[in-house]
Amino acid sequence: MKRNAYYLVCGFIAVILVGLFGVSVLLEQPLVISVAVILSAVLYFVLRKSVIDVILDERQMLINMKTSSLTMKIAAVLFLALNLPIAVYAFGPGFGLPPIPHGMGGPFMPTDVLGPMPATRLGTFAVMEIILMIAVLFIYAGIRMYYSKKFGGEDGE
Amino acid sequence: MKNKVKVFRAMYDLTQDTLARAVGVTRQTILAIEKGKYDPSLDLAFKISRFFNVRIEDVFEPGASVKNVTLFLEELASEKDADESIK
Repeated sequence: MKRNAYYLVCGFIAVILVGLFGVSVLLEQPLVISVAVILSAVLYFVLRKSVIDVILDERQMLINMKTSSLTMKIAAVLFLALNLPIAVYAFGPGFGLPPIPHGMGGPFMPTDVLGPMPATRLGTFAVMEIILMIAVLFIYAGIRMYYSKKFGGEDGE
Repeated sequence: MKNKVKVFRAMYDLTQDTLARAVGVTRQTILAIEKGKYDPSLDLAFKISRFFNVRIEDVFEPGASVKNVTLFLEELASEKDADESIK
């Protein structure tokens, strides 16, 4: 398979995933999108192996390695910075701490809202996670550009 | 690490792309090596030098001064002698 064909297939799979997400919401079956994401990841991997016109040389491998390593570190920090407050927010009362009245430096929500997490709030957290994921993709692209510049490879003869 | 890849390439009137294909890397890698922004692996350095039918040190030379083993051992021995004389 040629590289351009691979990108087209990837785009097609992404569109199908969006559709399956809609189906998953309509059917109220989270397992549909969950399984679809895993299967598409496997499909991406298998298709990637069949691409013939890709030269992955040592410089590119070095750039990939350094980019992935730095992105992982940044993603871990962002992930913890976002998820630990969410965990505190969601399970704070469950830790056995007495609820502090709102407005006294206590929880950032009125105490009557605290308790079992409402489904809509869970959805908000999921959307935040997706935004974080997209942000990490942009960060990856930025770091990759940085290392590509650092290890040369620009301009022509 | 300094190199003369561009000089050798010019000698044979080769493009970066031709050299890249000959040694199995991308044109960007050859460009990065020529600009001194990327130091090739030993394997690639050998491939490039063999391609031009020259020794590896004819194409690549280390940036920092490298110690000779004899000189290094002499230095080590003189340091040891100095330590013993102090004691």
